[in-house]
Amino acid sequence: MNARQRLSTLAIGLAATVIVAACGSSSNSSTTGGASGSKKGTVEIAVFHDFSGPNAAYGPEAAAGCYPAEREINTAGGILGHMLTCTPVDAKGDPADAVPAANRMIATSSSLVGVLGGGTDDATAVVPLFQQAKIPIFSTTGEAAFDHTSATYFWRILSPDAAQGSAMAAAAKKLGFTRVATLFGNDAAAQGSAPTAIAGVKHLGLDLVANQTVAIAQPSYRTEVEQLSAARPEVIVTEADPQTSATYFSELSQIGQVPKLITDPVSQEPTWRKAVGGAIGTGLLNKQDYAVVAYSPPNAPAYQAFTSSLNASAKQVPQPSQWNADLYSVADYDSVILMALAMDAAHSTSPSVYNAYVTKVSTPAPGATVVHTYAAGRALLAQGKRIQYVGAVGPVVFNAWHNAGNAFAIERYINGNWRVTSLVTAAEIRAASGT
Amino acid sequence: MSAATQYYIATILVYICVDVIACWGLDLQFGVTGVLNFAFVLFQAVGAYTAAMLSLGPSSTSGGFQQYLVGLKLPFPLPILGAMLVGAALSGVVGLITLRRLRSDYQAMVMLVISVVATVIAESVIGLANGTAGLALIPNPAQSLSSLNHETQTWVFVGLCAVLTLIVGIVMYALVYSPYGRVLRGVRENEAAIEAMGRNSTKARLQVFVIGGMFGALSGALLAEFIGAWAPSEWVYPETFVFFTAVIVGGRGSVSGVALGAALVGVGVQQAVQYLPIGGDPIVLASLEWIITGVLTLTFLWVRPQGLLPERRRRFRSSTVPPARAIDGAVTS
Amino acid sequence: MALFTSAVGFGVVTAAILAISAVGFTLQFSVTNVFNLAFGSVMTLSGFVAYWLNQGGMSIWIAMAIAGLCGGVLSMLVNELLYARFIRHGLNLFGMVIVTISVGLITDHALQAAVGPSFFSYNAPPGRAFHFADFVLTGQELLIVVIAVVLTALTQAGLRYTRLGKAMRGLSANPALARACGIPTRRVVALAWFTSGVLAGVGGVALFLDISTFTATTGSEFLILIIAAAVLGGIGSPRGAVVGALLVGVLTEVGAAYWNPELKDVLAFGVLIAVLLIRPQGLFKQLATERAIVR
Repeated sequence: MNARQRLSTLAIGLAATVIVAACGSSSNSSTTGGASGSKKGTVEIAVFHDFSGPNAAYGPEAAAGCYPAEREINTAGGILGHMLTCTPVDAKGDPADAVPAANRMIATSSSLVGVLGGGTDDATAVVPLFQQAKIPIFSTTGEAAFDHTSATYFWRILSPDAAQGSAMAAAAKKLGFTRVATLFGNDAAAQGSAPTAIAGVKHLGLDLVANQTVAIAQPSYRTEVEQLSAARPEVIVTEADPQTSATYFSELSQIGQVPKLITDPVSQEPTWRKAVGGAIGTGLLNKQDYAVVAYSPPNAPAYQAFTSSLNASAKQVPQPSQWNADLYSVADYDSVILMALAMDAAHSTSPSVYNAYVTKVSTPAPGATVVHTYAAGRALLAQGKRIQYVGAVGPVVFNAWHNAGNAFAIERYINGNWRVTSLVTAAEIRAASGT
Repeated sequence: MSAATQYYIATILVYICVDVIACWGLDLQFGVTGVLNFAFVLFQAVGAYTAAMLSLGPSSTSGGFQQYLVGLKLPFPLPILGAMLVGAALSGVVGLITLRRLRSDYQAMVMLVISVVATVIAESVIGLANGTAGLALIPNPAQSLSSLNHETQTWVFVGLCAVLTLIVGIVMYALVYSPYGRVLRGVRENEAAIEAMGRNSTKARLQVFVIGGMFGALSGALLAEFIGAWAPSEWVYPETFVFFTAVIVGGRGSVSGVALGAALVGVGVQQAVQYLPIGGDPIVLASLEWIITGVLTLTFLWVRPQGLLPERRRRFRSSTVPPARAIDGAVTS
Repeated sequence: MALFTSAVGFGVVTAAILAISAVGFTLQFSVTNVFNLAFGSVMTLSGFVAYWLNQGGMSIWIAMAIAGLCGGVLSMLVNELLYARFIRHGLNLFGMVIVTISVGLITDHALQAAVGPSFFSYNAPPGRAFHFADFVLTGQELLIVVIAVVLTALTQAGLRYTRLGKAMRGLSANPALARACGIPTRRVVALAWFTSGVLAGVGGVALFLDISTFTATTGSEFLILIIAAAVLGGIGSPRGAVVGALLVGVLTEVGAAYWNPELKDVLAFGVLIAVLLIRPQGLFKQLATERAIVR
């Protein structure tokens, strides 16, 4: 090849790359072929989580919250005449890959009205993108980075990790334990709740007999396990990913007793349950585990609506019942309903318009009727009334930084179901956080 | 063209520039001189972290939720220059330690292990660069350059990347197609001969290690400033092999070839597979994208192992010596 | 002192698991000179084969043996159908690394698409507890150590005393001369892939037993530890791989005991780098020096 041929090949190659991108983005694709609905087009909510790689379970988890909501909403007649479609988009597990994926999604989906996204992997990188594009993003990351965020399109309906940690410490005291060990993985997600959990144990005057931060995904924790066991804790306050937890607790059970465990919503995810249950036996796990999670009353109407819609969505969500107790799926369900109700209240599906109405359909106010389902809320909004959606995670009251706090409950897995055994009050959490 | 499409194209262009600069750095080390730098992504990471820490303020002022070693809040272009300096310095240190008279694959493995150790340190020592969570809120220099709206700032940044890519390209051409470049290729092909001619091959390798590391650091600085965040998950050791794939697919040793390879492998293939009209289970779809990437790479290597735009090899005709057989690019033996 | 003995004891268990795979990795590299980054994927696939057999009621130990055989056959096939063809096509060492990475990528994601992102565990009772001076090991852990010792000893003996083993060493040392002496190169290379595949398979199942749960990407995630052990011991020396695995295993446990559990890897890798800086070819002497790809 001579120089001119080479340069033109290079130019063509580069141009082709950019043209492919531009063509794809300017086409008006309404992706995974949802029903195009009455006369108007569909609106899309993207499920922007990991569908590949080590955290490939996060995507289906979020989808398990979106699809039931989609079913509810479309059955009730859609949003202002538009049908809703949930669109899964792979965030690929790290910020550098998530950013082009997010930008591509924003560019190619003209009917995108909201996003379920922003896992701990990529939230700090992608939230600014949706903020810039003025598209509301409901995120499940507990990172402290968003405790005081200025991003007005960011919404978080689950308590931040800091509050979760304090709640776990408060639960240890409430349950009457005095010798407490803490065990956290060194990944970002687990380290979110570690500081307040450890501090909480100390503030409440409990005996912190062991405090371990372990490197995740190791072939062996036998030395750490032996040290923890030698400290004879009554309970272990812990968060770690499924792999690390399974290896650790399996080795702990081999040398002796697994003490009681105080865990957080991560432990209710089906992957964690399967991994650790497979490692130490589901019977033992259920016997020892106290999960401290956002209080979601199981017979609440919203939760009933969620589970029945979820189980009816088997076509889109394989083995739907595994997500029944997954707090993140439940929270994503509530998030989608909130977005839909906000659009109804704003009489507009335009994201930049309805964003301001999210608080208007969730904040308690005199004269606001409490609703638990989309259909009920839609009906009342059509009459011009004010509503407060109390969802499956309970009331969602956003503070100035679009963070919501939850009430916390202690749950145990008894006879095939999670049952609330007691509540952790706000006062107890305050005592744990030392305020 | 809508704003969203503009951002998408801008993202693509920035990523192309970043990948091209990085792959040129690797090409200088591996393609031209034959140094198997299996720790290359580490230098990109160092550049990213340095640029981040030089442009962020002290940790209490940037959100208060992240801890890192130092925050100097320097104005443009100091963070980028600083990143390049640190990249060069680190390359020098690593190079001095590893570029001995070693079998090349041993060198490669030592560097691979160095890359992994660095990841472990970055993740475990929280005060260094905020551990596994990484750094966030990294300011974009375009913000300080132009107080115009965000769209314009983005295009200013794209322009900056393009200019830098051009500069690096010119430097690459100057280095590779010059007598110095011939020395480097000599080191790759026949070290004994080069030494016999009185050149120090180890010194040459160290030089390209430093220059290549500097380019890698530059690419990292630009990427981190564009994304605004940088975490250990972005520079795990397999990322180095993505760069290697780009260099080999493009045509190792050839400046234009590597640029094409970087654009295609780094950006083109990944974006293109997302437009394939496959519906269905998102996990299957996501896996399929990776599988297609792997299959495409294998196809490239099979069909054209010398690369898309192979290195130009000089052929010397003489009356007594038969014309040299067309030698494929140096990926083949 | 008690802390130290128990750390060493635990380190031996970890070492056993790493050693099986490290020996396989280093053996294959020394004979074929292909830096096989799809090794972790072979481990994972074999681990799943054992899982499916185990779910069907088979004892995990028999399943482990069968999974090892599957790993061997699979590796041999992939070499025949893919790697060897690329090598004949003219690709050299650097190109082959990319080929193996692509194969690993395809395998891992195909598996993930097939089994989903879920976690799996074996039905394998831990066995009774054996009390040593300061620590406790289960029957399962001890059996794995025994298996590791037997397999590595067999490999070493095979290399030293059998004809094919000697042929492998010859090929590793000087391929041209070996061919000239009439060694059937293709067959020996195929055997090397088979052996390393068997070790990958057994090593994969052993690893998954040890960590108690696994997914489609687990083998690839642990590959770097195996490479570290192999490199530390001297790539190409199976004896070295065992020693390397011992060092990595013991150092990580000692690091966790005396220093900081978060940084246990750093200690092992730090020692690895230090050794490599002083002695870049690793601890043990190689079977070969500079040479090109073996066809």
